[in-house]
Amino acid sequence: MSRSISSQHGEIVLADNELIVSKTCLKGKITYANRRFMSIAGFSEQQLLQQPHNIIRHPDMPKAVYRLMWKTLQSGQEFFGFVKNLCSDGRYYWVFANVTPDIDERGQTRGYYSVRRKAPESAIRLIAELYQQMVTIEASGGGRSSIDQSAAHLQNWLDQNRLDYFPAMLRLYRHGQL
Amino acid sequence: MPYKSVSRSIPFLRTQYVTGTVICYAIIGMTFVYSTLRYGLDLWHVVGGVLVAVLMGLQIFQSLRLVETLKRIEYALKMSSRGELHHRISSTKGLGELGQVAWALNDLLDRVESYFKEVDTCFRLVAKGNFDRHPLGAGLPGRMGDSLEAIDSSVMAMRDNVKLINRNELASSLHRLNTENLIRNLKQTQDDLIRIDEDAREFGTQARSNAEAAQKNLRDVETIRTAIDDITGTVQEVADVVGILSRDSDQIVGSLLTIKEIADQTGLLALNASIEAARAGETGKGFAVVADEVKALSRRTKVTAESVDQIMASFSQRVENVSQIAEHSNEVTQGMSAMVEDFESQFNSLAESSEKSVQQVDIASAVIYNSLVKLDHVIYKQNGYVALDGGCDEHQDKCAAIAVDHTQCRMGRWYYEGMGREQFGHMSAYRQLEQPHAAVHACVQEALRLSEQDWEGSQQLREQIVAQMKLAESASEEVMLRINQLTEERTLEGKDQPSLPRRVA
Repeated sequence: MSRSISSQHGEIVLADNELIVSKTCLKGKITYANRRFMSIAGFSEQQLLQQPHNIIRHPDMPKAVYRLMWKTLQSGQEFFGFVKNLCSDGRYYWVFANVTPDIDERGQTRGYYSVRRKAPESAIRLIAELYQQMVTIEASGGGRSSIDQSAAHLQNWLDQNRLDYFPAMLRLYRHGQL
Repeated sequence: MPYKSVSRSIPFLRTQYVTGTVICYAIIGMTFVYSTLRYGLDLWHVVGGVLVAVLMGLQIFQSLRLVETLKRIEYALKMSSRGELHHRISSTKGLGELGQVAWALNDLLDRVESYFKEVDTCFRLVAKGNFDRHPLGAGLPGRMGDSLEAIDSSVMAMRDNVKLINRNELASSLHRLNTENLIRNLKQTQDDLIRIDEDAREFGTQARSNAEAAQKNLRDVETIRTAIDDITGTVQEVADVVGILSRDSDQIVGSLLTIKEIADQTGLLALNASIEAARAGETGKGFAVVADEVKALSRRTKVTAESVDQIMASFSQRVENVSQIAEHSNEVTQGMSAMVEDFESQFNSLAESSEKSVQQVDIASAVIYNSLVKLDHVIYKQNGYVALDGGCDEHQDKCAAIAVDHTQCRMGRWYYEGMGREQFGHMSAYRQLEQPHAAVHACVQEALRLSEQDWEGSQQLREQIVAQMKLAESASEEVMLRINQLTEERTLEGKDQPSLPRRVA
């Protein structure tokens, strides 16, 4: 396994073929994290298990994106998104996350399964700018309406590019641009 | 979960560990009791025994954890065999080699589960017609990554295939629709042409009989001219005869005067004779003179009488002549009158037939023009089909033709500005023509607009395109019907119209 490169600005960049895997229960508490997760986030298994997944949430992430994620997962569909995660030492790493519901033999959703892959640099630049605008919107107002505005900003951005959310994210991941 | 602890009469590790540990504790206990009895209580024995017991306790604890972890690994593998790939083995801290086995298994399950999730999601969406969810191969090494790449290219091939099928489906629906309607349209044009052909034939026959009638009229005019010449000659002859009769009657008057003179002289002679007779004596000489005079008188009277007789005979002949000439004149006049009557009736029928010809030409030209308008309309739809088949990039001229408004196409100009409004504006079919004509343009334009979207990937869009073209076709059928009605009404109007004055009264 190739080592990740740690940049001066506190960013850890994933290697091409690395997978960060975790599982949560229906309430979002971590039930499993693979070793790469622990090593990059800087937490031990004991520190992670039964903790809410937002233990690694970075303040630069807009709340509207998480709201969209939960809405998508609860409708039984998979979610794609670029996510900036926080390490225990204050550094961060960007990933392209794919979250799917874990469905057992009887068709019941047991939890969620998240696989994170390396995100292309050009896509990160584009998304970081969008997220920053969304975070500013969310910070300026208060409560639910500011998240609505932030979500509207995201929708507006998608409309400008004439794409739906998921095709846009997949295209960004595959080609690094829209 | 029932725990079977024996396999082929060999106890499982847990039983072996527990049994071994119990035996070891028993041996240590018994050794401690024996040595204490034999050699007395020794501090070293006590400390050593406790130490060994504690160490063995730790070992059994780890052994039990090992067995428990192995059971969890077994469970995870068993569940994975059943297809549940979400089980993982956590909390293996301090289990060393076994911990590594557990993590290796977790990594394997992570990759296998990711692989299957990618494949499942991708195909579930493919089944719904969404080919954009490419399976993501990053992080899946070796066969798994290769397999996802292969799946991705298969899905792309499927997408191309589906696009091709969809394109064919649309093309064939449109083609079917077009063929059905085109044949009908062509049939109508054919009917129009047949009608024009029939009209032209009838018109030709009419023209031929008109020409023949005109020829005959010319001959009749010649005959009438001869008859008039004849009458002129006859009248001249009558005038001559009348002149001769006039002269003859003058002669008769002269003759009659002579006879009067004779009568007078005879009277005088008679008077003289009577006088002479009175003088009797001298009879012989005078009487003989009188007798001579009477003799001469009677001769003259006889000649005159003969002359009158002759004149009368000639006169009678002349009268006969005049009567004959008059009769001939009468005959000529009667013949002429019949001829004129005949000529008049021929002239009337010629006029009538010419008028009919004019009407037929009118109707034929209306049919021809309406047929042209219909053809233009059919071509508009054909442009639509061609543009839908190849898209606007390939058929820019067709798309430009389709973009034309329903007031600006040939039919539109005919309808709003040209002959259409002039000739048919008062008919109800004319008013009923506007709406379906506008609908044909709107529907074809809408179909073309829809075809600019991703119809290859959307059943709904394809159905909408075909539906729009169907609407266009049914509207177009109404357009054809209305134009036919216009032609019919025009024909009826032509027949009902009062014809030109026939009688030259």
